[in-house]
Parts: sequence; structure tokens; C-alpha cells
Amino acid sequence: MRHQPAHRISQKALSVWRIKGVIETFFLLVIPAGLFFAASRFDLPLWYFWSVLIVVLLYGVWKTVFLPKIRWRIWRYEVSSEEVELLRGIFIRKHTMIPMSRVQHVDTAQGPLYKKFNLTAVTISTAAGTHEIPALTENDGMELRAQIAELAGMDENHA
Amino acid sequence: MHNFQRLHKSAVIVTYAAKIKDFIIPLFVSLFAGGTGSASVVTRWLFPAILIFLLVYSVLYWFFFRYHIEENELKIRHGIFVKKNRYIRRNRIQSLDITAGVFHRLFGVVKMKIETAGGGLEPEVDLAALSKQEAERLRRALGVEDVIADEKAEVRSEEKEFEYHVPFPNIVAAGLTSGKVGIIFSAAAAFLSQIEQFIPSDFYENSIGYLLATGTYFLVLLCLLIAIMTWLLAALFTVLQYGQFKVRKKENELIIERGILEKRQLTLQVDRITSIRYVTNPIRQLLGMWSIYVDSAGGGSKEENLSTILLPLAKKPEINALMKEVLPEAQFPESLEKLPRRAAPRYMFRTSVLPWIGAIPALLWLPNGWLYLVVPVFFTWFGWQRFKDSGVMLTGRHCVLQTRIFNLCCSVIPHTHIQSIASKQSYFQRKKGLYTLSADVLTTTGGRTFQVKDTDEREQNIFDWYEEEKRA
Repeated sequence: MRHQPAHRISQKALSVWRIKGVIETFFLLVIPAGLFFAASRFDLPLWYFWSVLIVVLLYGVWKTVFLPKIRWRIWRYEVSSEEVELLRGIFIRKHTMIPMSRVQHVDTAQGPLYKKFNLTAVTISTAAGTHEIPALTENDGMELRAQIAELAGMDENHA
Repeated sequence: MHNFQRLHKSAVIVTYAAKIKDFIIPLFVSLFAGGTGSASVVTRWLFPAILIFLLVYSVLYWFFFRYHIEENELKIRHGIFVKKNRYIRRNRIQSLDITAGVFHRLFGVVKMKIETAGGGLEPEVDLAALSKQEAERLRRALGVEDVIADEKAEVRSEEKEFEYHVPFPNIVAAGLTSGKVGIIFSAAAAFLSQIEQFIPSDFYENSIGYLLATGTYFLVLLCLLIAIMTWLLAALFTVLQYGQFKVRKKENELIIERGILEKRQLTLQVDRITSIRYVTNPIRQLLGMWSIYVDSAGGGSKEENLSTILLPLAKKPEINALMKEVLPEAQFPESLEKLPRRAAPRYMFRTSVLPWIGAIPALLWLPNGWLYLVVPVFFTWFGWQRFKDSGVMLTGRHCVLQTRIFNLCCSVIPHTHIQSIASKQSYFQRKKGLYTLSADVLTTTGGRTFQVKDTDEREQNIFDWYEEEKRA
């Protein structure tokens, strides 16, 4: 393996992902709720409800307890004057290198949850696609955006 | 406004024809609705009304469409109700596409499409009809050659212009071995294999059986005939489309001309080509023949998978001779770093897992179901072939990724046009120390990812290669 990129994303990402996990689980609970309703109204066997409920709860635990931890531990990024490197993925680990001269623009984005935790996501666009670094602290995010914008702008040979 | 000019007058008719083609379904419907006799006034007049409306539109479109070239910029003003202005800088143009369909040729005019980077399928500018001289003037003015420098350098234009005509037999071979053939051949094979089942063993004794059998024979023959006819038609179509194929290179400009009935001329810029692909299918591979596709940020056509065919079909020596002149750095790679042996089972598994699963019910329930095993065994073997055909090579300024899905595809990607590089590793790959390498480049519709699965750890040096090449 090549050396790992140096920086980790903000640890507050854990809280955001956990909250998102809880919200998602609540939405998914609609399905067993519907099944429970169906079981009480029509004669649908109740074990449908129980089995789906267990699956949803297991998914919720995975999504809120284990997944954020693993995800945070793996996510790394590094910006040098030459390129941006990203490393992520739990089952499929993906290591990307974006040459600075190919960067077309950088965005920062902040949803309500991110705002609450003073986090921001940085999106790096090339002509062929976009790459996102999630959950940096506001300071880091702004700094990174400025840094990439400056480094990318310095190179005048882009296509 | 006075120096703006209109398209050739035949643009009216050409636009009209194109609009009729677009409105073919409403036109048909209204024609039939009007033709039933009992129709009301509205339905009776709908058909001519649409025709007249389209004609008026075509005339107005022509009347309000004006263009002008000024200081390396193409300016266009058009629009009947909403006036639209479009300015395109010369150095932003990715491709110039001049086509002359049968209809255009009747009037001795051509159609010109101008594309800049990205933007999907629709060309940025579509000039419906230009006289040939005007098209040539535009091409020269908007081409990459410097207009001002060009005037004093009449001598230089003589300097070096490479021209290559693809021999006619190659085009015919391309037609006869195109992808459609495989489908038709397998259909024919399926029919042939069924003949025996259709013929009862005692059909001579039984007159009804005899008739039935001749009937099926006739049917099989008919199907074969149809298959051969479609095959020949497909070949003829290819010949018409790619006949008189000519590649010209002049400095940085690459001009591809082709077509017998509909003529097409595409101008690309050599240093803007983002990938070069050598492609062959199994039949062509047996003949030792390959075709070459190139990608750039504009200019791809739908029938060529949004790329551009640089060479329909040729043998290696011809390919090398052509590439030496056109894109000398992107020659067909001599050698390739093959994948490590431990990748082979993964390739075989991926290729044959579905046929093996499909074999289970066949084995269990079908009479003579074990015969079906031929299919998964074949796919397993094919997986092995795919493994053997895949590889990576870093040659100086280019990265070569070779893979096979069905067609063997060897992609040569210039270092300067790589948008990003990535390596991926799944849980199972990690156990075996294998990586999936991928590189993104820009094509007509946006990004395209080339990837090779299950490469060795040493191919990770693609990152170092990339960094070093950039410094060089």
C-alpha cells in the first residue's frame, strides 16, 4: 500500500452520522408500523411485523453505532501543491488522486445538521466528475477551499 | 449587423425536411384522421396546416439565422421570437463536423456542427446548410491553424500533410465482421442445432411427417436466408457509412473523412484527444485486425458509442504505419504487464457465476440437463481468457489499460488528459493483495472511467508514475 493521506476528517462527523442514522431508522420504522397495522386490521400474520422490525433495528444499530466509527477511522485526505488525495470506503477501499491542474472548482456545502455542528463538506470538481470530502470543521473546510482554489488557479495549463 | 450573413438558401428546404422527419408521427396521425371522410373541418385541415406551419417556421428560421466570424470568434444570432446570441471563441472549439447527406448533396451544400467541451449530445452550433466553399472558409477560420500566420506561410502548408486512405477491402471486412454478425451467427447456429429435433426418424414412411419435415426444412432455410441477408445488409450499411475513409493530419489538426452516400468530415485537434482505444472482437482478432477509436471532449457520434472512429479496421502493420504519423506516442503497446496468477480465479468466478447458478435447475429438472454444463464451462474458459487479456502498462507519457468484456479493448490514455486516478480494493481483494485501477478522462458526454480489475500491488506505482511524469 502507498503511504496513507495525512489528514482525518473532523471527529464531529461521528455525531452527524449517528443522528442521520437515527433519522433514517425512524423513517424505515414506517414499514414495520405498516405491517403491524395490516396485522391488526387484516389477518396478516404478526411474525411479518416482528421479523421486519428486527431487521430494521439491526440496520439502525449498525448505521448509528458501528458504521460511523469505521467510516471515520478509514476516511483520510491530503492536499499538496500537486494533487488532492482521498482514501475512503469500508468494504471497497478507494484511493483517489486528483491532479491539481484538473480541478475546475471547489465548493463547500453545509446542511442544517452540519451547521449545528459547525461542519462543512468540501466538493472538488473536475471536468469528468466530482469528489467530496465530508465533515470538516468550518475552519478547516474554508481553509481547504481557499488552498485548493489558489493552487488550482496558479496552474494556467489546464485544458 | 450588416456584416452578418445568412445560411445558404437551401437551408430552408433542409430544415423543412428535418422538421417533417421530427413531426412524422403527428403528420401520419393527422393524415389518417383527415382521410376518413366523415372528418370535421378541423381534422381535414390539420395535415396541410402542420405542413404549412413547418414551412413557415423553416423560412423564418433561415431568415433570422445569421452568423459572422470576427477576431477568432464565431458569433451567431438567431431565434424567431426570442433572439439568441451565441459567441464561441475559436480556441474553445473541440471539433468541427461537416456532413453532407444525400439531401444536402442534391443542392451541393453541407451541414456543419461545431462542438465545444462537454454539453452532451447536442452540438453547440448547428449550421443547417452552407455552400462547400463557405464551409471550407469557416473550417479554416475556426480550425486550429493560426489564421494570421497562415497567410504569409503558403510554403509551410505544403510542409507536411499526412494522408491515409483506408483500403476498400478493409471496410468490407469491417462490415462483415461487425458486432451484428455474432448475433446472426449464433441465431443461425441455434437453428441448425434444432434441425435434427425437427426431423422425425421415420419421416419418409409417413407422408404427413414428410410434408411437415419439408415445411420445417423450408422454414430453417428461410431463416438462414434472412440471417444471411441481414448480415449482408449490415455489411453494406457499414460500407456506405465508412467507405472512402480518409485520415489527414496537418500539424495539430486531424481530419477524418468518410461515407459514400452521406459524407462526413470531422476535424479534431490532436493534442486534445483524451484517449485512444484499440478494439477488436473475437472474429476480427482471429484475422489479426483491430479498429481504433479516439475520444475528445466533443465530436463523438451516437453510432460510435460517443467516440470517433479513427480507423475502421486494419492489421497491425497498417495500424503502426498510420499511428506513427498521426499519434506517434500512442502506438500500439508492444508489451503489457499481465495480471498476477492469483487474479485468475476471480476473473473466472465473475464471468461464470451466473451461468453456474443457472446450471443447477437444468441439472436437476431438465432431461439431458448435463448437456447444459457446456455453457458454464465455456464461460469459465472465457473468464480465463479475460484474465489473460487484461493488463496494465506505463509507457512514458501514456498509461495503457487493457481489458476484455466481450471485445478486447486496449486503451492508451495520455498522461496530460487524466482527470483523476483511483485505486480500489474490496475486502476479498485485500486478502489477495489485488487492486482495481481506474483513470477518468473527458469525453463528449462527460467523464469516462477506464479500469482494470485485480492488478498486482506493484501497479500501485501508477501514482508515483503520475507524479513523476508531471514533474518531467
